[in-house]
Amino acid sequence: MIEQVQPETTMVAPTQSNVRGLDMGTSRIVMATSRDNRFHFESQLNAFVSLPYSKVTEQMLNREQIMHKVDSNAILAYGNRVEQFANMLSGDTRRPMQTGLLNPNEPKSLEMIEVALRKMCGAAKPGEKICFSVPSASDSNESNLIYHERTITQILEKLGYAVTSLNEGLAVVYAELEDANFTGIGVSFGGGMCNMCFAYLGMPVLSFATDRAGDYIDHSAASVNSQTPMTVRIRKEHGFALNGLSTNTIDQALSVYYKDVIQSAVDKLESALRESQKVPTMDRAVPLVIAGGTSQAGSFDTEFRKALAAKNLPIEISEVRVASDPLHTTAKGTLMAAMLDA
Amino acid sequence: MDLISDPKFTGLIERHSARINDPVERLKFVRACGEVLSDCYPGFAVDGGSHYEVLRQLASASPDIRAELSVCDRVGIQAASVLQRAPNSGSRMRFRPNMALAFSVGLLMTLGVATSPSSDIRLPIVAENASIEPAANLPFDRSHASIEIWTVEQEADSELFSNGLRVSSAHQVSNVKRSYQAFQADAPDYPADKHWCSTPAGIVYHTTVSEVSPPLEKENNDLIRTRGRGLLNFVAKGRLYNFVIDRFGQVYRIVAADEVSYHAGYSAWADDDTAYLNLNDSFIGVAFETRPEALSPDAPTESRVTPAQVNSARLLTEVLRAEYGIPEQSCVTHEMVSVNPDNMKIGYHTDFAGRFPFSDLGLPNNYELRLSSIAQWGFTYDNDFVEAIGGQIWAGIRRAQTSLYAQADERQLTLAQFRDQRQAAYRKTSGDMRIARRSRAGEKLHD
Repeated sequence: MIEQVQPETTMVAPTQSNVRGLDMGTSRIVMATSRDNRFHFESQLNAFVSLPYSKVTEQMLNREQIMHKVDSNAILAYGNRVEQFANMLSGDTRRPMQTGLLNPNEPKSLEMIEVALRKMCGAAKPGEKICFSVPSASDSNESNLIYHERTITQILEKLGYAVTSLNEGLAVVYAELEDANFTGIGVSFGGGMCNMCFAYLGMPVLSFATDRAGDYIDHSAASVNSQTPMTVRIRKEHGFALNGLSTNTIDQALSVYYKDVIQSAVDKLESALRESQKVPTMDRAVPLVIAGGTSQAGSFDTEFRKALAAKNLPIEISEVRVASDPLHTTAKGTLMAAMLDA
Repeated sequence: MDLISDPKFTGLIERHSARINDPVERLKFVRACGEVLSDCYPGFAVDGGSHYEVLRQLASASPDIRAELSVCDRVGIQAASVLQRAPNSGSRMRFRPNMALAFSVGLLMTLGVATSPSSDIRLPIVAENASIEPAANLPFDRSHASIEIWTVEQEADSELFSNGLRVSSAHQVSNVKRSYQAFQADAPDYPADKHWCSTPAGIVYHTTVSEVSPPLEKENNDLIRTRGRGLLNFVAKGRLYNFVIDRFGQVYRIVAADEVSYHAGYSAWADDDTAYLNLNDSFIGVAFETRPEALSPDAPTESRVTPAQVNSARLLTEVLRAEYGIPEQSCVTHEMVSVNPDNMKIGYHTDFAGRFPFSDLGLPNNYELRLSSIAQWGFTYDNDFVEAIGGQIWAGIRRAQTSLYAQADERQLTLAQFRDQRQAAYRKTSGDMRIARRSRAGEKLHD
């Protein structure tokens, strides 16, 4: 049984009942639907933990409606509550995805993603469409990206959906740049990657990515503090601010690595725009929108603006702002993409 | 300039996309137009037949664009289409028609004289000088408040209205009567007819940012009341607002609604029909007594104004709208109208930082309305303003920028050129207004 996550309703949306959007994030999978002129989102932690098998455990998981799969003498539990189990077992969660793609080092990655998608999306109704997000190609991931996209497509097609995919940075543009006629730069700071897309009138002109994002921050800050990444992530997600003065060594390490992530992204943005032949000569400045869970740290946007101001980009940026709903932006964008063809 | 960012085309697309409210339909529209442009890019020069070919394809993509094409464009499309079929026209990719020939053929076709097969576009006549200013995006109620409200009882220092509003006049002072000039919204330079108005045209909502007011808690009751009285005396002395709503929701009339209060200084606003400058004379100032942290962009709405204040503001707005026929879109906040003419930037004051609870007052979200200070007078904004309002500009600012671009396109000016023109017009107009007001005040002194 799928664990019932309270759907969050935000924003006014056109109502189409036969489409879904899917943010296939390294940290979380978010599904977006549209009902009663509102967007609805359901989110699951993209992680699992292996529990020793027992009937009692299995019954408990069923009762609590926690996604799971029996695997020989273990139960693989997946979703929002697995961190509690990991804490009890003094371990860490296992991740089906890494740097935006299926984790090649995790033997159960494919199975767990399939479990998650079956439970979250369910079997498609006749004619139902789904669009899922994919990261941009980077220097190191092109072949893995093809495998990842093809595999997710196959899983969803097996469920009966008509499947399309959308670049994650472009999803941010779709979700947030309606007033700018979908012209501008979308930046998604996720768990595994930072995806960026420069779009013009809704068409992707340039998309690129760095692999420094939330997980990089967690692991790096953890390693210099002899902590687990999960401990660091919990600290990060509860009140941490980049410009805060703190004597806490974890906070200090987080500040360092957050700024490193921001600088990497801005450097990549500058080099990609300069080196590309495809960037048109613009007669006006374009907006830049930041989304994703990693961007939610306090003063993240201020630090980003500072880093950007030090650059001399070939196009002018009119404003830098954080998305209205950073955790659900990508899912909303993929839903809009699915609606385009519906 | 690349074809793909030629303002001739992008302006056309922007004007029409601004009329599409559904975000998915808007995305479909701009993508269809973008695909037309990208089909022609790279490699096309912006000239001759390629120019008209792009227009033809855009017109095919959108009936609205088709309807708006000028006579010259339609003639050009017809001519380019005919000449493309000529045996020696060369590659479609490098078509450069003889313009005189193209115009003649096209004109003849338009008049139905030529017999060559016409293009697949039948275009209605559009006046060359038709205004292309985009209409307001939202279906606002242009009618005035339609409910009837009357005074139930009038006492020495208070008034009760039929909608439940009670207004205290215990601190009321007198001031000069309103007398101002307004402009046509689509021709906002100094009016020729010098007609003077005296009826309030709108409402501007303010925060007082009372530095010394303590938290709204029972044990602070006496102190809040004392400080509140101090605020009212200060406001009355300076004639700073027409109405003050204290933290308990009590409404005080400080200056009568048909008299001037000095609440808006350098400011600008326009609805669909009429534009106003320096709103002290034309708009009623309504101030919410708030605490200092209300200025923080992160302060939630409930810490900016109290529920009691919101309720009172709703009742007061109903009364004022009913009495003076004030339209919904002229009920605005200080940050929406405030300008700094020294640096030509908006947001000299940022009272509610884009978070005024319009819907709680029974008003539409007027942050969606295009800012006339940008669209008509060429004001700009900077990062300090964006940070002051919490890092996110509201939709009306974006719409105003889009409108400014579109107007520049229509006049075949760069954005900078057109903005300079509008800023110069603002300086001249506001200067002329000051002279006219002083002159009129002088006339009145001599009456």
